[in-house]
Amino acid sequence: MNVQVIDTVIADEVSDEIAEENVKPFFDSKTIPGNPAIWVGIFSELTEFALFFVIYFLARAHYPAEFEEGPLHLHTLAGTLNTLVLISSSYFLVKGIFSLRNDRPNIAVRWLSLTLFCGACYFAIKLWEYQWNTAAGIDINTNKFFAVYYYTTFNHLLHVGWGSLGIIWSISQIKSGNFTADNHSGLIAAACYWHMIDLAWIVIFPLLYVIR
Amino acid sequence: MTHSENPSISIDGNHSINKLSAIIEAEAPREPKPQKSSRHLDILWLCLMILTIINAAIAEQAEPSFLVTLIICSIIVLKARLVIDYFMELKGASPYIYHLMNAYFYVFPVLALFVWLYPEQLVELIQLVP
Repeated sequence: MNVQVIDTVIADEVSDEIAEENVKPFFDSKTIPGNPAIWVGIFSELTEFALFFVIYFLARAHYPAEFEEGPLHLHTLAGTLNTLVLISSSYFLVKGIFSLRNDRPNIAVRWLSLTLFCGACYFAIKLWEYQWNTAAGIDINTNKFFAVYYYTTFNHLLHVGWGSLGIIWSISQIKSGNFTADNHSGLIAAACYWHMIDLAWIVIFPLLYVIR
Repeated sequence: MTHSENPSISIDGNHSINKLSAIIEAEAPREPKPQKSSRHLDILWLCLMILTIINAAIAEQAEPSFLVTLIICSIIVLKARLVIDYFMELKGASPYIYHLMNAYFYVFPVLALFVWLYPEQLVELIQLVP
């Protein structure tokens, strides 16, 4: 056995450790990611969305024909693009968190800026979709399906706005050096809120655009 | 002096790997802390994008049926689980939060399936006047 072999053995051990470190969950079972207050907020928002979903189910049961026809009149491409944009925004955000943990704040800021850009794209696509609906003669009073569609999607749009403010604040905190590799629970809180918005859309998109 | 330059290190079969690691570690210069890789996130992102495109294809092409609705609801659960486990990193965090979040994204797809299957029964169930 020579030194080269030793190097290989040690390298294997180290790479195993790194692999294990990456697979291992970041938070332990006693940890609340972010802070408890943000989770009160997240569950309150999810309750609000739950109410919208229940209204959707009740309206669907009472007006099955409108809910079977409704998705056919919606702009599926806009809905799909918004889903892709929101998923990408969540991905960019978690990449930003990993960059900060690796002590690369400048790269973290770039990832978070991409998240923000996705938020702006979401707004633009939603505006385009609403204008397209108006041009097609669809509005909130068209029927029960579109009433549910407008209330749910506009409410979600507002949440993307709140989430974007959280991301802007996080970027400012990283830039000012308040969020570091070892201290960034505020960023985790903002990220959890953003992911909740993404999760809500993961349910809204199939309910309104896909299921007939 | 690094371990590769040290002639005093000789290995025989009696040395355990741990002992060897300790010697090398003592001799080697301190390496920076290993970087946490986020490569698994790239794969997850790709999976989520594909699942979304499948959903969109169903919206455009498929005729409504129980199987199609079941697939759509399963995709909701799968996507939500991926986001909760890996993007939010709740897997391993406080079990109350983790299970509550998971439960939410099981309950609503199941309800969607139930409403699709039994709309009349639901209407009867919530009638205020029999």
